[in-house]
Amino acid sequence: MVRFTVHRLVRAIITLVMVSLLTFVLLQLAPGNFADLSAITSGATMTAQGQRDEVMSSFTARYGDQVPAWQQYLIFMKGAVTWDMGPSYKYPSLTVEGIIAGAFPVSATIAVLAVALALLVAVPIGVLAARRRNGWLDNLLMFLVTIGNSVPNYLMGAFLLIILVGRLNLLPSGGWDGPLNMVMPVIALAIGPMAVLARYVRSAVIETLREEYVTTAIAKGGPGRTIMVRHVLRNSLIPVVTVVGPIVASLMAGTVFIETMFRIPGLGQYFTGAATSRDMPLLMGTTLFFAALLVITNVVVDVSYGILDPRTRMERRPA
Amino acid sequence: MTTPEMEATIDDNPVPESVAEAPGGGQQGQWRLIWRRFTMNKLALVSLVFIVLLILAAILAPLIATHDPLYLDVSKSLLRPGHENHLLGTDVLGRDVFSRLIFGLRTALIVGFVAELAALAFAILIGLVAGYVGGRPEQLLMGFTDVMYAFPGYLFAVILVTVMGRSVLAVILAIAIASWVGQARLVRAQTLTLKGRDFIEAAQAMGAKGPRVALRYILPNAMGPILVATSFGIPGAIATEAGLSLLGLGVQPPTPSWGSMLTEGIAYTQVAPHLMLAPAILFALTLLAFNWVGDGIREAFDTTGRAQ
Amino acid sequence: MSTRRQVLQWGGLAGGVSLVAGCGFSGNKPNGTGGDDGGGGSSTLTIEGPVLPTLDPQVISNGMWMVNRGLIEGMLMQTDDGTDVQPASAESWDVSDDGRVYTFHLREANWSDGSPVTADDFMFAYERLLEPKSSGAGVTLGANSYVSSLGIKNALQFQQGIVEDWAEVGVKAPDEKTIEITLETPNQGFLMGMTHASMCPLPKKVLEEHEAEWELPENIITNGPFTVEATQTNVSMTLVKNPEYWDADNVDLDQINYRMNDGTATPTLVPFENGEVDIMSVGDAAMLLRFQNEPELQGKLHSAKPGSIYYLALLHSKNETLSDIRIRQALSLAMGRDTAAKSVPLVEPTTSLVPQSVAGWDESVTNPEDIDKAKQLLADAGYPDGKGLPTITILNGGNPSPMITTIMSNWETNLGIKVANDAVESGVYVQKRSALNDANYIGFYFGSFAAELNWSKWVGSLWSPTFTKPFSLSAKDYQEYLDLQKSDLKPAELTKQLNEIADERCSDEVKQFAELTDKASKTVDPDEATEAFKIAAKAREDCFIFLPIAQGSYHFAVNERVTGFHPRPTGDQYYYKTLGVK
Repeated sequence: MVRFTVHRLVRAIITLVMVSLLTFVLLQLAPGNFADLSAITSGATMTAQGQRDEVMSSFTARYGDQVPAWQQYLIFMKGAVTWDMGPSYKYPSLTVEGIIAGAFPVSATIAVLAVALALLVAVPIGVLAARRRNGWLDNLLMFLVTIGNSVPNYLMGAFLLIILVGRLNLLPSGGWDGPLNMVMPVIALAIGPMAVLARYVRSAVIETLREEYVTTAIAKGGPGRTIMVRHVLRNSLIPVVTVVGPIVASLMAGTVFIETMFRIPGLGQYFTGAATSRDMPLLMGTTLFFAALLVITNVVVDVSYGILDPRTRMERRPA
Repeated sequence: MTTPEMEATIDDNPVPESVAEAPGGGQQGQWRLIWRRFTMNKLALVSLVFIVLLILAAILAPLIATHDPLYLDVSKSLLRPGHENHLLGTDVLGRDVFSRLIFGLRTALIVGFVAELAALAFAILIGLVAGYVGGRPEQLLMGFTDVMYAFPGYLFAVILVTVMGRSVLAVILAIAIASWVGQARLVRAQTLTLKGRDFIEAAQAMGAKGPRVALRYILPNAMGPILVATSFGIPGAIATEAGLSLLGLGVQPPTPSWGSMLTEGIAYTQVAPHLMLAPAILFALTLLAFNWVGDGIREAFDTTGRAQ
Repeated sequence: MSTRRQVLQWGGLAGGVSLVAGCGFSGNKPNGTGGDDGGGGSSTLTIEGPVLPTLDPQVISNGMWMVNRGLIEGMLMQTDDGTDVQPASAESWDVSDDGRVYTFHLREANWSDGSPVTADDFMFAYERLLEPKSSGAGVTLGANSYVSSLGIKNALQFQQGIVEDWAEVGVKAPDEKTIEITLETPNQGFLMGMTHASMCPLPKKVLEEHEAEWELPENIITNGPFTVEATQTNVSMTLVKNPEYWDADNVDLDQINYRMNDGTATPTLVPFENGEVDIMSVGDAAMLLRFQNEPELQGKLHSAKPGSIYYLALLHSKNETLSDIRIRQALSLAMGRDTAAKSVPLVEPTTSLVPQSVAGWDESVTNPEDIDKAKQLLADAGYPDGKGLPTITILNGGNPSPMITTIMSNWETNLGIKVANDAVESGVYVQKRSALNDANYIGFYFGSFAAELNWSKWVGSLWSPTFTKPFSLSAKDYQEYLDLQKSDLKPAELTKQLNEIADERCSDEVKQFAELTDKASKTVDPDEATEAFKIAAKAREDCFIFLPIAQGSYHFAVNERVTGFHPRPTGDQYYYKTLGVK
C-alpha cells in the first residue's frame, strides 16, 4: 500500500511539471502579450508599438531584466513551489496565491454543494430505477435524467435567472453575500452531475443485485429495506464514490459561465480572464492549481479505493 | 508496481463491465445478435431513426432550407415564427431561423462526429497499445494521458483557435484533444480486463501474433463500452462547440452554428424567445437521441442483463 | 487576510455541517456592512457596471474611470453636459496670452485621512505617468498615451526617452498649491483633456509605502466625494461618502454599492427590473430593444450625447490592391451605413470620423454615400462590377457586431465583390491589426473610439497624422518599418528612425492631412482653430484609410428614484458627486 501510494505521488509530481511546461510553452506560442491586449481592450491603441514593448518588459522585469523565457519559467516555478508567485499582471494589487486562496473556497463550496445536491437526488432515483428495472418508472426516471443532462449549465442558469428572479423575484440575482446567492448556481451546476450519477447508481445497484450474497440474503427472506441499505446500497456506492471525486475536482476549478452569470468570485473567472489577457503568472498559477487538484483527487481516490474495496485488496496481496 | 486492476475499476467507465465475449461462433453472428437486441429497445430505435433523419437533413440542407441562411434584410428583423413565410421566424438581422438551423446542423454534426471519431481513433491507439503491450510503453503512454487529463482543455481551445483561426477544423481539433483522454483510459481498462480471459490466451496459444490478437480479438470485444462512450461523446462535442461560441471561440460567423445561434438566442430571450427556443429544443432533442442510442447499445451488449 | 480561518469555515460549511449566513462571504470587508443586496438605505444607490481589476487611474482599464467618477478628483472636472470644464481640486486657473502656459491654483482640500492635497501629489502622479519604465508602484499601462493629446512641453519626449531630465518637462510646482503647465503649442482641447483620469493626483505617501497595494481598501485614501470601504474582487465594491471632501455638503449619497458584471455573462435586465440595481449601463442590443418595445421600461433609458465612432481601418497586406485609393473610396461610398446602423439599436449612420455633437460640426467634413459613383470608381480601378477583386476581409475581435455582417452583405449586393469575416480572439486581432498580412488577406479591421467632444481630440489625437502615416506605406516600406521596430536601438533613436520612414514615404494625401493638422493645432484663436481642424478632418476623410460607419453613445437604465444623473460622452460617463435619491 505504501509503495503504491509513493509511486502514485511521484507520478503526480511528474504530471504537474509536464502540465506547467505545456502551459508555459502554449502561452509563449499564443499571439499577443498582456500589454498589447490591455491596450486594445481599453482603447489605448494609439500607443506606439515601441512603448507597449517597454511596458511589457516592465512587467516581466520581476523575472530579471531581459531574461529568456525559460528562465522566467524557472523563476515562476520556484515561486509556485514556495507558494509565492507574486502579483498578477491583470490584478496588480493582488498576488496569484492570494487570488487562489480567496477564490478557491468559493468555487469549492459551490462544487461540493452542487455534487451533494446531485447525489441527494441521484441516489434515490438510481435505486428506484434499478429496482423497477425496465418498468415504466425506470423509463420515466431515466428519461427525465437524460433531459437534465441535455441542457448545458449556462442555459440552465439563464432559465433559473429569468424565472426565479425575473418572474417570481424569489432570490437575489447574483453576488456573494449569503446562502441565498448559492441557490441558483448550485442548482445549475448540479443538473449535469445529477444525470451522470443517477445512471451510475442505477447500473451499480443492478450489478450488486446480481451478486450472490445479495441473492442469498433475499432468498433467506430478510426484510427488503434492510437488504437494500445494508448490502446493496453500501456495495453499490463504492464505484459511485470513485466518480464523485473527479466530478467535484473539475467543478472546483470553477465554471466561468455560472460565475459571471451569478457574479460569484470563483476561480473560473480568473482562469479564463488570465488566458484571454495573457496574464502569465495568473494563468500558470491557476492551471497548476487546477491540475494539482485533479491529480491529488485521483491519487486519493485510487488509494482510498484500495482501502475501501475488500476485493481489490485481496487481489493485490500476492503481488 | 502499478496495479492495473485498480485503475481499471476507477477510471471512468460509465458502463458496468459486462462485455460480450466472443462465444465460439463467428463475429458476424455476434453483431447480428447485438443488432437484434438493440432493435428491441423501441426508444433507442426511434432515436436512431431520428439521428439518421438529422444526418439526411444535414446532407440535403440546401433542398430543405426555405431561405439562404446568410441572406439578411434588416427591415425584417425579429419576425415571429410563421410570419412572412419564415417557419421559425427571423433573427435580429432578418435571417431565416429555420434555414440557419438546418445549415447549422451540418456544422454541428460535422463537429460532433469528426471530433469524436478523431478522439476515438487516438484513444484506441493509445489505450490498446498501453493495455496490451504493458511495461515501459504503458507507463509512458499513461503518463502522457495523465498530463492531458490534468491540463485544462479550455486552454488548448484558446490556443488552437487563436493560432488556426476560428475554422471548423480548429474547433474539431480543440474538442478532440479535450475528449480523447477519458476514452483512452476506458479502452486500456477494457484491454486489461480482456487480456486475461481464456479465449485470448487460447488465441495466443494457437500462435496469433500481438497486433493481430489486439485488433482481431480484443478490440471487437471491447467495442460495447467504447461505442457507448462515443454515443455520449458526440452530443458532448456539439455542446462544447456551443460553449466555445459563447466565449467567442466557436465556428467563424456568419457560418450558422447552433452554438452561435444559442448564444444570440439567450441574449434575446426576453425580446424574441423563439431565437433561443428553436436551437435549444433541437439541441436538446439531438442530445437526447444520442443518449438513448447509447443506452440501447449498452443494453444490447449487456449479456448478463439479458439473462435476468 | 484571514484565509486560513475562512478555509476552515468554508470547509465546515461545505461538509454540510451548517449553512450559516454572513461572515464567510465578504472576503475583504473590515466590518459587516451589507454588500449589494439592493438599495436599502434612503441615501444608498446600487450601480452595476463592468468588472474593475484595478483602481489605478494610470492603468487603462475600467477602474480608471471609476476613480475619475467619484474617488480621486483632478484639477478640473466636466460640466454636467460634458461640453466645458469647471473647477475641482483647482479653484481657479490663469492662461498666458500666447495660450501656452496654464497656472492652476489648488484649493485647500484634504485626502480622506485628513492630510492635505498638495502640488507634490500632482507632480508625483505626473512623473509616474510619464516615466517610460515605471517601477515600484505599478506600471502605467498605456494611460500615458492620453498625454500626447495634451501637448505638454517635452512630455512625449520624456516618455520616449528622448528627453531624460524630468526638469525639462513642462510641468512645474512653483509652490505647495500651484501647478504650472507649459504646452508646446496652444491647444483648445487642453482643459477638457485635464479632466481625464490619468491627470488625477495620487496620494504620494500611500503609494510609496504600499506600492502596488496602495489601492486595496485598507490602504487607499481619496480626495473625491467617495472613498472605498470594501472590495470583493470581480464581484462588488462598497463606496462611502468621504467626509473630508471639500464639497461634502453637496454630496447627497452616503453609500454606493457598485456591482461588477462581466459582459460575457447572459446580458439581462433582471437585476434592474426587480429593483436590485438603480443604475446599470446598457450596451447590449437585446436589452436596448426592450426599452424600445416595452411600455413599462420607457422613460427609464438615459443616453449621453453620441461620442463614439465605429470605424473600419485599412489592414496592411503584401497584396497592394487596396493601395489604390479609388477602391477604398468605392468601398466607403457603397457601405450602406443606413442599414448597417439599423442592425444595432440606437446608433446613427455617419460618414465622418468626428462625432456630430462636436461644436461646429457640419456636412463639410463628410463624404456622403453614392453607389453609382462607387461602381464607377471600381470600374476605373479595373474591377468593373467587382469582377476580379480579391475577397475583402473584415477583421474583428470576438463575435462580430451585426453592423459587420450587414456591411458584408451590402458590399456584396452593391458592388458585386466578395467579402469575408475574420472574427478572431483578441490576441490575434491585436497581432493582425499591425502585421503585414499575407497576400490573400486584404481588407479592414473593425473598431470603435470614444472621447471628449472637441476638434483637437478627434483630429489631432485619435487617428492622428502620426498614427495614420504607417497605414499608407507600401508593403515594402512597412516591412522595413516593422523590422526597425524589432531592432534594439535606443528608444529615442528608434522613434526618430521610425518617424523618418513614416514621414517621408507616406502617401501624398496623408502628408496633406498632416500639414493641415499641424497648422490647425498651432492656431491660437479658437474659432479659427475649429475651421482649420475641419479642413484637416476633411483631408483625413479623403484618405479613405479609416472609414467611419456609425456613431453611438452610452446608455443607462436608471431607476426613477435617482436624481442628479448626468451622462456624458467620455469614458467616465457620469459623476457620482451629483447623484442623489428622491
